[in-house]
Amino acid sequence: MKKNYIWILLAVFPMMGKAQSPMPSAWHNYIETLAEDGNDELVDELMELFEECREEPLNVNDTSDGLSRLPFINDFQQKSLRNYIALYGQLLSLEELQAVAGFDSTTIALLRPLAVAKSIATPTPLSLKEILSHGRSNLVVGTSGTIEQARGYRESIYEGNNLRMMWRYYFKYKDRLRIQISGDKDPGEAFFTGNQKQGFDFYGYSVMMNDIGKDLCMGILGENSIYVKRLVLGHYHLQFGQGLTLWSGFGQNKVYGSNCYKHTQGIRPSGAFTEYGFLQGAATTISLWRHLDIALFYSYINRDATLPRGAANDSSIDWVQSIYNSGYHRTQTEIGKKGLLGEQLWGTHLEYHRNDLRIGMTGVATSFDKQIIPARYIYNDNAFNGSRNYNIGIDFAYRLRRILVFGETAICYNNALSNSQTNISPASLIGSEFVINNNHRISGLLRYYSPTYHNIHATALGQSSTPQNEIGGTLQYQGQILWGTSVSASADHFWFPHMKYLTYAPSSGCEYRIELRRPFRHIKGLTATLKYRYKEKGRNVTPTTMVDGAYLMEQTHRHQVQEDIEYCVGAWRWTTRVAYTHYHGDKTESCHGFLFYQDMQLTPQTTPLSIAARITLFNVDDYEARLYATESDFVYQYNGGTFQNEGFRLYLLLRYDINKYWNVGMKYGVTYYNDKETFGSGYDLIDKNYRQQWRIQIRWKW
Amino acid sequence: MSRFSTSVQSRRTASFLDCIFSPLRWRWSLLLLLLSAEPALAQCNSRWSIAFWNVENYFDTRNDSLTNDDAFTPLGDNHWTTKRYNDKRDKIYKVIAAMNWPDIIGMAEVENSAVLRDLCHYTPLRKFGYDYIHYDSPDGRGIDCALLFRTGTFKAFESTPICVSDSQSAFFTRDILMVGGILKDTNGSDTCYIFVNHWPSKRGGATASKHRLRIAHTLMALMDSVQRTHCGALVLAMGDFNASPEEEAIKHGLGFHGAARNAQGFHNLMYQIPKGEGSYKYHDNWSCIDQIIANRKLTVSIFRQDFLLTDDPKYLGTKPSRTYTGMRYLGGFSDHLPLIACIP
Repeated sequence: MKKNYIWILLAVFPMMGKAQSPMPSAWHNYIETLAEDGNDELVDELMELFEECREEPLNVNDTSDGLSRLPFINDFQQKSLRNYIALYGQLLSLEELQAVAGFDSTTIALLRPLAVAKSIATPTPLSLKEILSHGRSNLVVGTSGTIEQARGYRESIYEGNNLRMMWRYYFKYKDRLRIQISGDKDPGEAFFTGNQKQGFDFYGYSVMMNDIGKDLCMGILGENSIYVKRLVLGHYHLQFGQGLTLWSGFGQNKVYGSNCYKHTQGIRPSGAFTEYGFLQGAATTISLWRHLDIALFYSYINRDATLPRGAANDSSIDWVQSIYNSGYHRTQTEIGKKGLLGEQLWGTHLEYHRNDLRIGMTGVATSFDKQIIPARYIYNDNAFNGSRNYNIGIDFAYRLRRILVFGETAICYNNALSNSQTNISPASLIGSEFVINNNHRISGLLRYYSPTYHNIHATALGQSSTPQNEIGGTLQYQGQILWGTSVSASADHFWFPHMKYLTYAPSSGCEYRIELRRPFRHIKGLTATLKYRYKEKGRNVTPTTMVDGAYLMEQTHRHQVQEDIEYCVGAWRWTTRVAYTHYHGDKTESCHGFLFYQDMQLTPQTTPLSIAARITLFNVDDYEARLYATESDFVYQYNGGTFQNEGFRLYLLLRYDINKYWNVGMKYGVTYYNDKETFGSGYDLIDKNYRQQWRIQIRWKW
Repeated sequence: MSRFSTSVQSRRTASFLDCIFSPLRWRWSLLLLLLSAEPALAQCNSRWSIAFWNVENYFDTRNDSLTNDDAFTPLGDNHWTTKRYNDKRDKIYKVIAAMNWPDIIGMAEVENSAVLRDLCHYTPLRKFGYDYIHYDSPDGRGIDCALLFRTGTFKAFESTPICVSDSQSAFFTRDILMVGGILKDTNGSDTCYIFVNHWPSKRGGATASKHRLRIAHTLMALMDSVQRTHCGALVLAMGDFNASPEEEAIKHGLGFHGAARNAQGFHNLMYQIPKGEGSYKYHDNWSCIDQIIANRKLTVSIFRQDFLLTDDPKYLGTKPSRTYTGMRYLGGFSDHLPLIACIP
């Protein structure tokens, strides 16, 4: 059947041009590492960035051209690039990046598919005509669905059908102006009916303007003049310092490569389809002086929240139990949670930057229109309990030749403990990065996050998604050793001084990772990667029940070994993976997971059709031994790729570039379980032991 | 824990998918084996790369009283200032970088060791461990051949300038630079002998043509004797021969007679380049006067990048972006494009 479709497709469209190459393995690795840490939303945003930059590559010679948007390039790397250009002139090729201080092989491998080295065109004066004639538009429309009907649809528990529908349009003029609007309907959500009379469940919008009046003000007042560096209206994120005081949205909380240091993004528009976590309102960065910037922001947004039990019948309950982050509004319960909690946030960030020094100060006030009173569980003792919270923090970074030192300290001020006493709690981190040479670098970080440090919009390096209740130290090495083998190794030790969810006692643990990657020079295109990851942490033996009047604790151990062999020849790329996990506790039984896949990608130079296909075999005993494998996918349609149970999965993806402006993609995937009669759980339960999914996406750019 | 073979037996009515996939369950091990067989791993990757580039008048700004380099001084006809010199040096560095840091680079039209020292030690090439071999030759303008190499992958054990000037008829030209060395990497090493040439220019007319033929005979005799004494070594000549493969010096002098391989077993690698392409443009005609000749069939390509080219309003298309035309400074790269050969 499938084959026939391909032939029909080939007959209909002319075979000209060149297919767009699939995601390079460096990016594949990067995305997968983030996905393993459960950062699905961050992955989505990164995929979006990847696609956008690949269509309109960044010019490395134009340091204002949005290189700062890439999370793996920090401001010191940008600075050394600027210095290099001042010394040796503009880059003629990306190979020259190897000679720029601070650009290691990992960074270059990630940057290469997204960048070009062109000479900078002379800037043209800004006018409406110029913006309209040189601006770029990009529209994506996509839909996806599951062929098998889940329980939620059969029993009409979900309001809508099982299609996901989404669209996004953006208009962009260089790096000066960007307007984005989008709509998203998740599977199960109603569409122009029921509770969704407005059509799509979620509409995203943002407008970003950069360097407003810069040329004019500089012309009059010189280079120390005031001008608006950036203005964002609509949905946006704020990301300052190392993420302890203010880092909304999805930040990376694990080390990747050698980046212990988090690159400050400042204000940026939110991704098109992230339905929660963003801020809504206006934010601006104003350059007060050559070395001094101030950011001002105000946001008001109605967030989804969970009501306490029985609230539906009791009108006297005017508090909420927790903020609900999923973005789904399918059932009456989920719709009931929509927009219950109004959140107001305002504040400022002041930043002084000169040569190799950067110092910032952030102050932010958050208030809710209802009290948040968390459910009375033992581990919730220190959870935020109130309606107001203030955070103040100082961050710095200083580079002295090859050594970078950075840190941030923040405190929260509120009455939001369960006993309503004043709570002033600190969170602090300090780190350093030492570049031995272009081939070796070491970095380390120490952190202390108080158990009572409250911050809803913070993401810092650590084991938890929010910087709370954690003490730890990380050491990281990245380099090239013998025979061209690149090594990335990290060790992280951590202590949780207070109890956590499913861990009802202070606990500690550690995490080690090592990754060896070796290209075989005498066999073209053959690369082998070996990964080992070990994690130890504390956990309740029986999750929620007491044994002899106490919760019994144990240390759990998870080992994961993974071997990838990648072989590129001509238009083909073959990847084979074997992965194994072993999980055991001191007092509980062990479980295992096994995964094998064979992946094939074909990107011919002569035809505009590219094909990706994969077969995955897996046998995983338990959730704790789960394994990940990122698939080739369309932007905004990324799904986690977690494997559990026993079975196999197949997928086929076709992408066709009709011409310069149009591009169509199709994907079909099926997951089949051997050891189960049903698929999924709850309302998503399918009474067959397989699930077939399909996707179509059309892109039009002009 | 259930195993692959002990899957649930009590199936419901078989669906379409079941029909297709159920046989697979029992043959997973076979499938595994089939899929894990990677395609034939025969193709070789280049372990080393060798480049040649005529850099067009890479002079320093000082006047050498023994040679006719007066035009290339700040007060000379070409106003060769330090700024222009630094720009030239950086451009040569950038082209080397763009070629992805070749292990060996033969250069023609280099004035002296000082300019090479500047190039290797005062640009980021220093980080990549580049060094050079250079001898002064009796050429009238004082331009010589030189060899740059990465010390990490190439170790020279022998180098000699081979004089091909004819003092009897007072014809002085560039020496051929011969370097013997070992190319090495983690998987082994390879002995090679490299000859860098810059033969007399076509401006010399019939006299120069006669000398080119003479030099061709000398070079082939040398290469052949090196090949015979060092069995299995890579013997490679590269340079600006100022004669395309169809001309007499290459045809008869080097004994190719219009073929890609000569009687001594040397390949003229430029036969791989399609007709109409070349590394040098004279009027509207691209020609391969830069060539690489080796006793192994290596792959060679012309490093034709947009930044090395400029529009040609007179003869249409593009032409190499030169540093000078006559005495007019254009600030380009060179009138020749580089060549790159890969050693598998």
